Amino acid sequence: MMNPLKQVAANRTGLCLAIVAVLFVGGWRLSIIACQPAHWLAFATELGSVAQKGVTQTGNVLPNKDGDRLIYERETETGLGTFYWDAATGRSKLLIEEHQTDKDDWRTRTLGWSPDESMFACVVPTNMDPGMGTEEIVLYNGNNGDVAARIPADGYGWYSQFAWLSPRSFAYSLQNQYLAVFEEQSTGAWIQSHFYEKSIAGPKWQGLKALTPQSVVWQEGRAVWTFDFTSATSTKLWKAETNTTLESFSVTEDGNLSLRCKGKQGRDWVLFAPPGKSADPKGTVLSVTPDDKHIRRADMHELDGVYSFTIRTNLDAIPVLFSWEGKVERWKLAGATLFFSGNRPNEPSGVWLYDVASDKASCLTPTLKRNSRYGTIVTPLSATTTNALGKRLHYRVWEPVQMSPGAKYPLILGESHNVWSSFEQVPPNEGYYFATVDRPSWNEGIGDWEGDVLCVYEILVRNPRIDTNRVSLLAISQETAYLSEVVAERPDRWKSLILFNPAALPDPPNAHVSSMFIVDGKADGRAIERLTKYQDEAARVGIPVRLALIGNAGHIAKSMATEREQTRRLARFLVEN
Amino acid sequence: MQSAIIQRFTNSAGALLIALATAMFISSTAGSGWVSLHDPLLGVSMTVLFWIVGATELAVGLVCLFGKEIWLKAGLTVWLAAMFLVYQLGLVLAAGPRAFAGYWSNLQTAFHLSSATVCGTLIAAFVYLLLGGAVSLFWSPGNELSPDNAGDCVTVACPDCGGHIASPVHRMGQQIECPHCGAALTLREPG
Repeated sequence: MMNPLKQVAANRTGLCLAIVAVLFVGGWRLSIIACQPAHWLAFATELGSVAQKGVTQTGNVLPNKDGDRLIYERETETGLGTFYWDAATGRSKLLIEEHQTDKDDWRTRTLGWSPDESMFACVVPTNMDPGMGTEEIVLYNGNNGDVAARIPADGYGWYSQFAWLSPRSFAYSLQNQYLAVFEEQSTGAWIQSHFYEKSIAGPKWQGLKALTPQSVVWQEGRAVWTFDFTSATSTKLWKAETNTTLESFSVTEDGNLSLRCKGKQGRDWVLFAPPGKSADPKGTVLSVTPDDKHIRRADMHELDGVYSFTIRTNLDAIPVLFSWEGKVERWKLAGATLFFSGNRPNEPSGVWLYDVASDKASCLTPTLKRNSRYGTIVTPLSATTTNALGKRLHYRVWEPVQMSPGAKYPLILGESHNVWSSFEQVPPNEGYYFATVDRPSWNEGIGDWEGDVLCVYEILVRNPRIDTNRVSLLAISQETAYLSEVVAERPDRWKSLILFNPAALPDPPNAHVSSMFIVDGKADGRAIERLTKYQDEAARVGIPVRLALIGNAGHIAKSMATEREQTRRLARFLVEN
Repeated sequence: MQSAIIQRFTNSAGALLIALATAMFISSTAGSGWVSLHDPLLGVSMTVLFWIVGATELAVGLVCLFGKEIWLKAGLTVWLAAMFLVYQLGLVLAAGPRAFAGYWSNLQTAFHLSSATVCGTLIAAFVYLLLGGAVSLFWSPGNELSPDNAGDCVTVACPDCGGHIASPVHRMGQQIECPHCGAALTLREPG
């Protein structure tokens, strides 16, 4: 009996054929890999590692009165971070990091600075890992961000409201009916000193604020209520007239209420002196004006992607105008500084401060460098058009980084709301045109997705450098419903479909595409069941679906890790196709 | 003559199957990280199926290249090709005529080929293996597939390397490659 190895070695012809077969197939594969853009995965990883705004709850900014200290929220590697920044050092300190879970909301919230700014409060889940848990109110030292006290806050929920009463006491509401008051004892311990119940639970409480150290006010529908701790009674302080809504209110520095109302005639600001500040025991309306002259504030208006602030840092001064091209999420005026979260055009979001005196804006958070180590940061070409209905459309086009004369390149087309996304840099670095139509915000104009995208499609396909046989559509979340309609109506125009966290899925028999990319969080509803079933249905009609389900993530990407994984998956899909 | 043709066929079949097995392994690896489809006929994930098919092709390919018995090489080739073609038919009947493109897309992606090219190439390859294997089975000299004839052997020594070669009596006079050193030699009875 011959040794099998000797037998193999003896058959030189067979051995050569086997080696040639393996080398042929392996070489083919290597030649494909060699043609791929260099560092495509490293580039996607680099882009995906940039903190970006992924959820509406993030981006809160909470400065102190003078604007030299700030609490802000920002995406972190694993979820949402709450940071403390002070102007003296210019540095940020991470206070809390809530890990991303399969839930789409955050439980950490910044609550506010104490009147003397020696402390600030946050509500923090006691268990940062996924799953339900209780909350606690954490008081931080206002001068360095160190934890000063932890107070269990049983029942503190999303609708609870918080207000500092004095530097050593605060109140919060529960279930729109109860008020809990906490005070610091001489020992330094914080204990619940009072617990009050409003006899009849009304509508949702909003904007709980201290009116005096012994009373709070809050909004219930069109009315403002107050609760006096000394008498333990709640009374309706003020109510808007019929057909007028109370949008919001604030307590002025001299203890009056400034109420922003909206009626048929437009918006009015009512200045109201509450009992104690007024001779009338029911309070007095001091003035009704079309402008709020009683509060130092910054008003923002947006037109065609340009945000304009009217900043009143001093009640007697002429308002200062400040324009910001890009995006603004949240803002707050503190002293002579405007803090806001947002981004410049085509840049990742960050936390910014605008110094009114010097008329300069600067970013407090690190952002993406203009020069990437692994790829090229492409600045898109911006253009405007008007569709058949007379609607002005603003759109941006990223061109492939390397273009050869006479060659045509595929196009990926979608819509965005002018917010930087890591994945928009991936297609141009992999030889694709990438174009998005901008809409004002996520919700505004989403119903026009189909018309907007098709209008820009008709313009772009006239570009001789775009390969009209390789046009792909990209949609995120609810946009996928409109994408599905476009695909059903014009099935033969699209090469592939790219769907992020799809809310709807195109009917496979009607989608005459050669491939599809879907990425979603595993915990997005019944994503595993729904999407794997869809993948199977699509395969039966010959459409390969590259499906990526990201663990420990729901419908919305809420951490850099998830954003990065999505970007890497898209990069891989594009490079493979 | 017959023997040489059959030998060429089994060699080509072996090389083809090893190439296919390599392609299956590469495709399976290249498709990792994505949610894998489940084969509608066998119920296993396509990644697992690719590894199973690849391993089977590799085994049969090695037998074709390095095995001694023609009936075994040809029989395995016919079996594998028939299985693949029956599977293809079953996939069409169970999941539709375009299902191959959907379920076997890892091959297209890994080698940047169209679904039609992949499907056409695979079917052509397995039809070739099926027909070639069947012809080899029934056309082999002295019907070597019959184990009854396997007993009348003589042992000859290779003039180049001196290695011993056992060969059926009826093959005396034929030219073969020495299984030890690969040198061409004509089988002659000793003495």
